[in-house]
Amino acid sequence: MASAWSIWPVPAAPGVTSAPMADYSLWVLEYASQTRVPSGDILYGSYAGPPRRMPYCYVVLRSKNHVAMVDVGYNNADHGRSLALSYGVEHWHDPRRVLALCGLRPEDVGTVFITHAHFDHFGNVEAFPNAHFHIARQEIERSLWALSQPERMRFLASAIDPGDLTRAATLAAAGRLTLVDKDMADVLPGIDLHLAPDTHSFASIWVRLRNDGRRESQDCWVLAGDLIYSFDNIGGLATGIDAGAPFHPIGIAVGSQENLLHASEAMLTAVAYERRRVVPVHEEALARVYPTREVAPGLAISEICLADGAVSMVR
Amino acid sequence: MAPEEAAIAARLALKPLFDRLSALLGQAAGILLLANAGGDPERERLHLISMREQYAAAGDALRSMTRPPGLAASFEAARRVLPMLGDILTSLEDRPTSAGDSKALLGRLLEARRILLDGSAPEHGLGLVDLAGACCAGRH
Repeated sequence: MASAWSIWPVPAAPGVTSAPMADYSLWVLEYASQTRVPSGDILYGSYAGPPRRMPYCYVVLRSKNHVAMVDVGYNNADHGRSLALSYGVEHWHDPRRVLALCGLRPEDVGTVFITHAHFDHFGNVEAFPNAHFHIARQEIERSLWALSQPERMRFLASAIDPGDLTRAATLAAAGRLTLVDKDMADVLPGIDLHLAPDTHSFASIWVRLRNDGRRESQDCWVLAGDLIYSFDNIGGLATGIDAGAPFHPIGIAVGSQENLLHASEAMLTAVAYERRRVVPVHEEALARVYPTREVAPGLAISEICLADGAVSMVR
Repeated sequence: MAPEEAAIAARLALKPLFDRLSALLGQAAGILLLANAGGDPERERLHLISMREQYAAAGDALRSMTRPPGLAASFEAARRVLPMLGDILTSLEDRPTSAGDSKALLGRLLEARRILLDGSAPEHGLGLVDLAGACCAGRH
């Protein structure tokens, strides 16, 4: 073991982390963590299982001439105390320190895809001063509706921070926000956005990277947001349409578990049922699936794939 | 009423008001966001009608309360934010037409949020975000 915080995982399948003609490097960056999450939150109804560690992560996609992210984490100044006090979410790290793990600065990020409007994904847009943001229009419109509901319905507005909407309004006023109305192909070269309405949130987005740039890609990755928390939600890590366990949806949703299953099917179809290519950002096992460098509690980088000629950030 | 019971009663009375003020801030921000990003004016009008009703109810609730022991800072934050929200609502009803109007409105929204955040008391359940349905919801 290289250090107390280094884990060298099982090597990836041949040809996967260095796929020919890969346009983007893809890293999952852990910026905080929660130590004991009930298994029933991760797997619907499975409260008999042991609690799990839940990392909080965002994703960086880097091509030769552009840096994009999927989600931006939360603002610790506003929420750190509440999260630590009530939920044991700890070890938050500033994006400047986190992005340095892959040699970047927040100012380098040009595009951000927000998977959903919860505070831990949408809560730190101010840290990325040069980015243009994308979020589903329906996610905003229905969040607004949810906030107008009476007290007895306030579960619908869970995890929505009014401050995030205010900062998003600032982005919109500055022409830095695109509201996504429907699935979008090539929003950046090789990157598609897909809507998953009435799932974990009102209108989550999942991101598909076609890393060979082809329409019928042989090198797809999916950034799942909170549509899954774990590979266990999609039946494990086996490859093949009939491989693995049955899907088991996450336990937390304002939409339906049925829609979560449909979203899982759509994401897996996009990667030809190679389950390790659907990347869950709250998965404690990331370090066992992808090459990972753990720097400190709540601070780690998992290298999902590398662009042609790019240098590894974990070795 | 014993002091402990009084404190619990005060918290129970203040929490719905605090939650409603936070939600009103979010609604105002959402309306402004959609207006800036090309929203539907008719929907915007319906949101504003709903907001106006909730604002009135929040005002009634605040007027019926006395400063709760142990939660004076939270109560004071609510007392300060309510009229700010009234001004913001009126501005939204007048429809901000210029970039300057919009910027000023955003500044007031952020200021109101800061006041409410400073007055929050997570240990008493008074916060800006309800985490009950978040991915971190499971208590450890």
